[in-house]
Amino acid sequence: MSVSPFKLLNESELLQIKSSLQQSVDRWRGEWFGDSVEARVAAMPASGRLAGMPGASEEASQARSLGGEKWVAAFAGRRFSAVLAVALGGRGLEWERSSGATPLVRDATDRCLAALCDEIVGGPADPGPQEEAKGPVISLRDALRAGSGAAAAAVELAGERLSLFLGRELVRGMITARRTAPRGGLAIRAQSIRKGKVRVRVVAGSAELDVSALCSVAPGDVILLDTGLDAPFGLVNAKGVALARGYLGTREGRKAFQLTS
Amino acid sequence: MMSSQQSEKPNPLARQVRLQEVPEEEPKGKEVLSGNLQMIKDVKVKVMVCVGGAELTVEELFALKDDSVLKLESATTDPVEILLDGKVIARGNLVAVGDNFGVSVTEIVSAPGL
Repeated sequence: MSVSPFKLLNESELLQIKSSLQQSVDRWRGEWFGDSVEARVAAMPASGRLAGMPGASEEASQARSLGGEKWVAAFAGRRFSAVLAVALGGRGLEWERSSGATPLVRDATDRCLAALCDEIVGGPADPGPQEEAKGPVISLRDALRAGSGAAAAAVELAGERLSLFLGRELVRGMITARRTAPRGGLAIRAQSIRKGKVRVRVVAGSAELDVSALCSVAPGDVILLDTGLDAPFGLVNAKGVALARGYLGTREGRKAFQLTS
Repeated sequence: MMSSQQSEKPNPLARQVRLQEVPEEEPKGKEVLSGNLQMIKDVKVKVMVCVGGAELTVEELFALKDDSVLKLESATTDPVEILLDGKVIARGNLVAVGDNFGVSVTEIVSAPGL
C-alpha cells in the first residue's frame, strides 16, 4: 500500500484559492443573478468540512471533471432553486410553494450550477464517453475522501449558501497560476522597480598608495593605475559593485562605454 | 600529533585571563595623535579613478547586452575623477604610462574633512 503525506492547505494557499474562486463566482453570478446580487466566497481545506455545510446533499448537484483530480463538485440545497427562480422570475420560471421546483426550475438550476462548475474548471469540460452530460457523479463521501490537497468553499449568495469541493489538481493549478502571473502587489512593485533610477560609473582602474604618498600628491603628478592599456574598464554601481566590463570611447561629443561582458 | 585526550588535559602553567570592567570617564588632555599623519603614513589606501557616470532605469540596465553602448554624462574633454572611499579628492587627465593607464593630476579637491 502506498503512503503519501497528507497535504493540508496553508493560509496563503487558501487566500489564493478564495481569490481565484471569487473571480469565477463573480463572472457566473453576474450572468445568472445580475449585479445587484452579491456573492461571497470562503475557502477552507476539504477534509471533514462538507458535513454540516448548508446545501450539502449526498450527491453533488453538478460536477465537472477534466480527468484525475481536476474536478469540481457543487452541492446545492432546495432553497438554491428558489433563489434562482426569483432571480429568473421574469423568464417564465415560477417557484411553486406547494410542490417546490417545477421541472423548468430544476432544469435551470442544473444549467446554472453546471455553468458555475464550467467557470471554475475554465470552460465547458469535454465529458468522456462514459460520463453523462451532467459530469461525473461525485458523492459527499468521495469529496470528503479527497481531503489531501483538496479544497472546499462556501458561496453565500442572496442569503443562500452553496458548497463547492475542488480536487487537489485543480487546487494546485489555481495556486500555481496565481504564483506565476501575479496581478496584485508584487507585479506592481516589480513595475516600479523597473522604472527606478540607477547610478552607474565607469572605472578606469585603481591605485594603492600609502597615506604619505597620497598626502603629497600635487597637480602635475601622475598616478599609475593597475589597468593595462588593452584591458577593459569596469562598470560599477553606486556602491562600487562590478556590473559589467567594456571599453571607453566617444559618441556625439560625450564619453561612451561599450560593453564586452 | 597531540591526541584529543592530551589536549583536554589542563596545563598547570596556563591560567584563565579575566578582564576588568573599564570605568566610564570623560576623555581629557591633549589628543594622542593630534592629527599627526606621520603615525599612519605607511597605511595603504586605495583610490579609484572614475571616467564618467550615467543614470539609467533598472529596465535599461537589465537590457544591456554585449556591444551595447552607454552614453556617459561627461564630455570627452572633461577630466576624470580620483575617488577615495567614494568621495572625489582630485581630478586629472587619463594618460598612458608604459603599458598601463595613469592619471595626470590637474586639481586637488579641498573638502572639509579631507
